Amino acid sequence: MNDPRFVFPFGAVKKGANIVIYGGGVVGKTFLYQVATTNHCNVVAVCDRAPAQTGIQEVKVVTIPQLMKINPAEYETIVIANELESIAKIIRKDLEKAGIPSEKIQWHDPARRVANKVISKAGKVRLPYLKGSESGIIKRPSVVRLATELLSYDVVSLDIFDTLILRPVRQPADIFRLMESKLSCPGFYNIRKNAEQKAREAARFHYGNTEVKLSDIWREVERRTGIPADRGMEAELEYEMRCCFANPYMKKVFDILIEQGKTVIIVSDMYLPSEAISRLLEHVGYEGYEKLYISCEYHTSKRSGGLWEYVKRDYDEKRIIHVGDNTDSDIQSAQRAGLATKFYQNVHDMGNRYRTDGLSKLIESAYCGLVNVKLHSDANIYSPCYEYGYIYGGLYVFGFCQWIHHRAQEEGVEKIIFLSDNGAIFQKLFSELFPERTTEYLLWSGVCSLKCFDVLHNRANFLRHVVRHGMRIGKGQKVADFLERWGLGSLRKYMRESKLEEDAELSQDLIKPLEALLISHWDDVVSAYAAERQRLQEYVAAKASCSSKVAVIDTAWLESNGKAVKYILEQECGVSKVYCWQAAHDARSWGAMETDILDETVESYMFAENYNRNCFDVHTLKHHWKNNMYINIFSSDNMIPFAGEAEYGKYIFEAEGVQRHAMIREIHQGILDFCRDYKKTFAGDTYLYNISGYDAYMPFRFASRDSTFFRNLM
Amino acid sequence: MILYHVDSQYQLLCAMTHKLLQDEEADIITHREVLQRFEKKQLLKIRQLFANVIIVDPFFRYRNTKDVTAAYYSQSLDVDSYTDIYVWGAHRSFGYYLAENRIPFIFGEEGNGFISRPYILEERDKKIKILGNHFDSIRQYGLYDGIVENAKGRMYSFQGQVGGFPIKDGDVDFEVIDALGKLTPEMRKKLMDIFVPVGEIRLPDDAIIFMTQHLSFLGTVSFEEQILLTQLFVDYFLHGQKLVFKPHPNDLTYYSKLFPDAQIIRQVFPAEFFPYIFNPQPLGLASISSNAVRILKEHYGSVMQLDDGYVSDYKNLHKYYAAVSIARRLQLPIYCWDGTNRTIVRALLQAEQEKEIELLDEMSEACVILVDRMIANREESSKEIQAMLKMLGRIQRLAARICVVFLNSENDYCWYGYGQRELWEHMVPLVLRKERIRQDSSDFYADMEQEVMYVFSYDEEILKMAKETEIHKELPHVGLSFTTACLPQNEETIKILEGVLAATERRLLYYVEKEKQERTEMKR
Repeated sequence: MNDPRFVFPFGAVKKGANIVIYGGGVVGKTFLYQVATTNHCNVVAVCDRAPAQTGIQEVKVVTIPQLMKINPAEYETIVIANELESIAKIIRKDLEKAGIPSEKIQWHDPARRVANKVISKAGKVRLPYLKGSESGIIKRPSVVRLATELLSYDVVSLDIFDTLILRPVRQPADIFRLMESKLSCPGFYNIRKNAEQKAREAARFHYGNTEVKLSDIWREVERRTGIPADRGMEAELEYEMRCCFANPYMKKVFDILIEQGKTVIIVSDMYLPSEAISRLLEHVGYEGYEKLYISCEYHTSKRSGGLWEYVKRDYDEKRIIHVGDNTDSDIQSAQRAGLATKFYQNVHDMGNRYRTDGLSKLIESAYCGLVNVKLHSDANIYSPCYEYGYIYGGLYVFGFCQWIHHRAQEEGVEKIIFLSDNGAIFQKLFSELFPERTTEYLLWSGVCSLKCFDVLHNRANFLRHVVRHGMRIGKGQKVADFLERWGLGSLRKYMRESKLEEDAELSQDLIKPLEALLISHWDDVVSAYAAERQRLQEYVAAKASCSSKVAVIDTAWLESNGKAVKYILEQECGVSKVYCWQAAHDARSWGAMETDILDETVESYMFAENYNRNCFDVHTLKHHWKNNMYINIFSSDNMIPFAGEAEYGKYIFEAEGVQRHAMIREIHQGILDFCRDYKKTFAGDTYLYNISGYDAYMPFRFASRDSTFFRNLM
Repeated sequence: MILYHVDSQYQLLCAMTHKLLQDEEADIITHREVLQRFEKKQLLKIRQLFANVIIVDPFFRYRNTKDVTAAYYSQSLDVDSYTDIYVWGAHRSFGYYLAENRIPFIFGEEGNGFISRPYILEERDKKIKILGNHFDSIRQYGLYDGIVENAKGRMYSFQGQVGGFPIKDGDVDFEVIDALGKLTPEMRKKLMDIFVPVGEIRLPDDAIIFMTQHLSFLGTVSFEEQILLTQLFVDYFLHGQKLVFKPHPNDLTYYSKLFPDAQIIRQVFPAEFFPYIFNPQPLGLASISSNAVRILKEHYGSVMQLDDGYVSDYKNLHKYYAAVSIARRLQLPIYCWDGTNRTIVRALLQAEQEKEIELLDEMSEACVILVDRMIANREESSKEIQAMLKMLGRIQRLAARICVVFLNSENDYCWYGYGQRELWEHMVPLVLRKERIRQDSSDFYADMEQEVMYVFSYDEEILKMAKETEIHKELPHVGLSFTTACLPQNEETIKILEGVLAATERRLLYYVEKEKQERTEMKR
């Protein structure tokens, strides 16, 4: 076996040395292969707790006591072949305890890295799915087709975990990570996993099989942690109950089978007692099956084939079909026993290869688990836009809303104002998540900020937007019309002195004269917006309505709208404290300054120059600024850009252009569905709602690894 | 002596009913699958009715030559010895054999109404590989539509055919349900013992039998969609009724879970026996477009039936309901523009027992015009709608009370053309806001996004009334409710502007697409 994710520590092991590899798993076998094919050194033996299970035949496989019988002079070093440093430490201790000198043992992170990115099993840098809808990779039959096929058998046997029941975590054992806080037991994840391993080894020793009960595992956990086994088992069952949910696809198939009067049995290799399993099944809605076969109660398993013998004995002469996700125990073993089989591809096996890494472990597991289930559990195929929202935008929007709530609680904010038009989806979700909080949606845009704020405080930005940017957009327009459009008709009378013709068409050559015209009559420019500024101030003040502490949420990454509204509220409307919270901050934009972050004029959730700098660099340097556009699609709204208030109550909108309504609608639907699913799924572990800005950015960062992704999407 | 050929259980029922009425000795030729479903006791009764039951391979001719086929049939029967040969399922091997040997027979239709819809069978047969090149010959012989040269006559349900289907000399009207009525009770009992082994079926008083279809099995809709369209049907059209579901044999939907108060009849038997097996008789029947309901409607007082259009329009039911509510509020009759589902409107009026609101065949000067989407030629369709709106502008001076409700289900803004912004000044948006009322259900498939429709009128009063119409509908089986409420001025302005933008974008994208197509064609 040569798993391209791992590489033998060639630099650390002397060429031609005699070595022992500890660990006969995937990493160990990969080391063995690489050493053998390069002739780098000589492997004397492989050491493993369960030699028989490794399947290694090329060299001698021994346990630690057997290793101690080998003359230490026969090998120079022991290389621990394990992915995780924490486990490597445990192994090191075991070896030292057995009497092997510490200096003879070594461990090196075996992960193969390319440009500091962990590479996937396929040997390539992991990338998002680039060929359209990820949900379309598995072509599952429709519910009706599968049910029709199963109905043609006398008995339908179903596997439980990852078939009838799903867990919203990346790996089944990640449930133990969630339990750590419940049990106040740091390291519980590893302790629980090792205890199970140990219990299975003991069972093999005593009974000749590896079937164990939960109580066997917990006896060992209790010994190591002091947590009473009864309490621990109860907690574990509670967690299974809380986290497990019915696979919606299989649930429909199951309900059809029951409605049609089919004999349904459930067969599982599992350490939980059947009473707990049946409670779990009932809890998630599976009722009406005929019998439950759980390996730990029969002291034999599907994998070994023994459990199938019981099934066949009970349903003699009947045509039985089994559905499950494990190729060994559900498919090959069942086939060997003479059953028909139907493979249900494991959703996490399918999805994990396209999921991002680099998030904090718990959030990563929850995020990846949820996305895998959504995309791969049933026959639905979602559009690439919907998936873009669900996979890459949901965590960001959910995390930002939670962060806003958290900050608002900390600061005692009375009202939260979301700015249009990017704020719409955030307000929609925020109101759903926190209906008790008062929010407002403020029609605003860069144009309003120019009229109310920049014209007074940031002349350079005003000129840049109005003249330079406006020139590009209005190319070919007459100068007089251009001024009227910007509400600067009063400046037309000065055009002659600035050598500008009213009928002249806008072009690059006119930028400087036009700027000169505005600068030389700046007072007129300021007063041209005075009335509208007044109306907008009243409008903004009405939205804040007597609140003394207000938060303004600005999600447009390169604009200073939040700052402008903050200024109006604090300086003109007498609001005592206005917080300006942004999704991210980029001081290189004309409307922003680095000091904005330092003096807390604005606060950023995901990154800024001085916060999560790594994300800031990746975001701003990659794809020539296009990242802003790509990430802004998450929050772009179908709302028409607001341009101001011509008269009281008469709003101006820039209702032109194509905004890709359908695409945005699908992306937003994906985002909202993710957020709703995430909230519902982890309602029992609300600490998972605290998504750091770094974690929130990771899915997008993953999507941006290859710009093909965005090109395909557009 | 007569010979019958049948290819399905329905055809077996036709043949047996015909045989009992004729009271003449007869043989029957069929294939194993037709008899497979029957128990031994029932098979015995079938055999008692016929002198000989001859089992053949329905695809024999398609696997063998003409001569081998002739020899195959001559082993089991002598076709010349029969006075008449009745053939149902003529597109199978035996019918083909008769056609190519010019042996006269009487053509029976595949199922009720099929003779005027031969394309259904053709579509099905196209997928059968074994037919190979014979498929074209079957069609040329006229074995799908009964226009076969050597047919002495055709037996089919006159009423079951599509409108305008020509009746020819020698055609015989044969409706199984009527034929069953002509049998003596003893004869009928004989057939019921074979086809309805369950005997009498008890029903609650005043029950409505919902005859379902196997839409998801056929792939017409997904399983979830079939559930949703049934939930919507029940909530909109059968609310408060005592429901009894009679699922199609291939419909796998779990009705007992979805409708726990309803009775489910899973037994399989031909619908033609309905008038004879229920106790008490149901009050009425309901179905989306089941053919059986059309056959049975003469026998029941209340029938709620839509058509195939429901399958594409069921998601727009809330808008249709809101439009009918506006008409009710305005006390105006309804006229449906082309592209609008008139059947749904009629069914809504029927379900609400709305007798005062009339459904017009022609537009009048006081009515609510429902416009949904463009049809066929997009530009022509849009022009017609715009011409209608212009005409409304002209007649408004004549005190016409007309209001147009644009359902806009496809978001095609069919009324909008460039430079027609003034239309929006006479328009108000109507927003349908939804709320989930049942959180527990795992079978919730409704779209929760708000829906927007537009009401247009030159009459300010009508617009005001339409805007202020409060509509609330609870859909307990779907699990949601929706409400319309008067929008504040600002929101109304925004909604209209969003509409203008979306409509402009839609039009622009249409022209971009059209230009692309034209360029591609020019390149060719």
